[in-house]
Amino acid sequence: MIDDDEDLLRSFQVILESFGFDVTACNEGKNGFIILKKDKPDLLVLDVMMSTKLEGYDMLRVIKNEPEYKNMPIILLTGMRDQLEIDLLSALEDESLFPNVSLQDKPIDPRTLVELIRDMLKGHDKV
Amino acid sequence: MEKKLIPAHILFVKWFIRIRWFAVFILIISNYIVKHLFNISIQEIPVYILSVILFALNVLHTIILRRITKKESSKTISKIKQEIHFQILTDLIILTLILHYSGGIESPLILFYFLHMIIASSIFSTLGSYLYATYALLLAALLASLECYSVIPHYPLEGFVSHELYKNTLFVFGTGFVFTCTSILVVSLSHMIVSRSIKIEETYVKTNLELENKDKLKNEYVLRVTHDIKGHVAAILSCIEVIRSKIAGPLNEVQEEFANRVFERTELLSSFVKNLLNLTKKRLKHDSEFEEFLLKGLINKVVMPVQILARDRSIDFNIYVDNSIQMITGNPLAIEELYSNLLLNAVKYTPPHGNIALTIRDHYNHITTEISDSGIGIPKEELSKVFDEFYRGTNVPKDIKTGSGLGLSIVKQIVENHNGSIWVSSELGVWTKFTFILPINPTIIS
Repeated sequence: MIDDDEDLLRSFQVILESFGFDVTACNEGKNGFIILKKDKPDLLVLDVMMSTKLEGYDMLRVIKNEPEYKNMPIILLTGMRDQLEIDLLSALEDESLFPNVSLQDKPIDPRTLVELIRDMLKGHDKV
Repeated sequence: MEKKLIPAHILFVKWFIRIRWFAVFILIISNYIVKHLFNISIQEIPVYILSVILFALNVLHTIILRRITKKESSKTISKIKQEIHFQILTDLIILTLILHYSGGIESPLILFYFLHMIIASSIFSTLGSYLYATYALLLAALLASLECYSVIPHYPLEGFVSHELYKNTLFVFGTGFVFTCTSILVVSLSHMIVSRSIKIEETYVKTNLELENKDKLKNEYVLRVTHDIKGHVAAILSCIEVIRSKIAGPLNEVQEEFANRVFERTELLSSFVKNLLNLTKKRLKHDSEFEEFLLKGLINKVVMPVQILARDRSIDFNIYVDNSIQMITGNPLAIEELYSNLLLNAVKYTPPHGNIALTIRDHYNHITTEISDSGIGIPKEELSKVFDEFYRGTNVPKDIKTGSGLGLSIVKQIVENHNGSIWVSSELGVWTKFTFILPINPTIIS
């Protein structure tokens, strides 16, 4: 899970762990790649609005461009979905461009997140 | 600014043309009456001919105006000014000729010069107004002196005024002097009045613009602040969730109670912040992208959760939608929010076994929606305040959890963004009815 809000990150980590998930938390985008390489997670929760406006999106693009992670499920949390440009929004929702990405408004209810993670992992296993 | 004045100029020219039709009519009638009823020696035929010329000129003015207003361009305003010049110049010549055939300076018609002086001074610059006054005075002086020195014949108004006056130099110059003084007074006075009112209007427009800008700045500020608060509130909520859900270990009774209190209060704060953010975005028109959609489909979607809620509380929910209503243009998410807010409100404030109704009717390119309930009602003196931010009914029972007080402000903003209007009527303790009208396509009407 990558999010620049440490309080949010830590509480979600504890909550997700209580549901039995193994969570690696990271509050800086650049460390995210190291963790991706090292831990090879099954799913990534990514907050798109990190310190700079496009940091999250750029990261998503880079991750999805690598064949290794192309099909890794990603939950994209955004606090400003309605301020996104239409082009970007439709690109994000386009399965062929960004497969296995779920766009979610912040703040997300922890239980909703747990359900979503379960669903996405289930779907991914089938693939 | 210049552009905004165009409609005023067009209106003015239209008024000027209308007055001229009237003048032609009066001229012909009074010419006939003066000649045949009062037996005053007016030159009937030339005056008729001049009336016809004035009529023809007015037809020409109408055609020119229509051409100018057909398509607006940056030159429209200067074209209209040229047309006004043309009208005043020709009018004054015709007036002088009519004067000539109706008794020269003895004629009471001489007063009509003032009309054109006032018109010129209300439209043109100071210099322009005085130039027109000079032009009118020169025409009058030319006529008077040509008649006085018998260069052209004098047609006296026999039976109306003493017809020897035009030969009396003292009278001619005396009249000329008084006429000139009056003209200057009239022009300076009317020019002053008009330029003052133009200045006031300009200040008004400018102030309005400034206020709009300030309001926008305020909204942008609120948006930024609320956005920040929202992030903090989200973090607090998920932190307290860790404690409340006992993930971190068991809680004793008091600890659990307080954890729940914090959680509930923060949730209220969170929904308040979300609503404020929503309202502010709507005020800034951040989500005003319109599209065509099927209203019935949207209504079906909105109504479903309301029906479930109403059934749970044994509330009767009636829906009527005109069959003729098909596609409408608007922001579907906002329209959905509009119906949902009002319907959920109706259920919330209606006691069990009551009823609520949703009626949507087709009305000449508009749709009229009524949402009524047999709920607690709104006190009469509060009816004008229900759409205000942070309004909460004073008669709401303690056990009904009120929201952020922003729901109806959001509703009103949505209706306004769609060029519609909304109002409310109620009888305390008996019923409440919200009515709103939306254009089927708001982009056309504006």
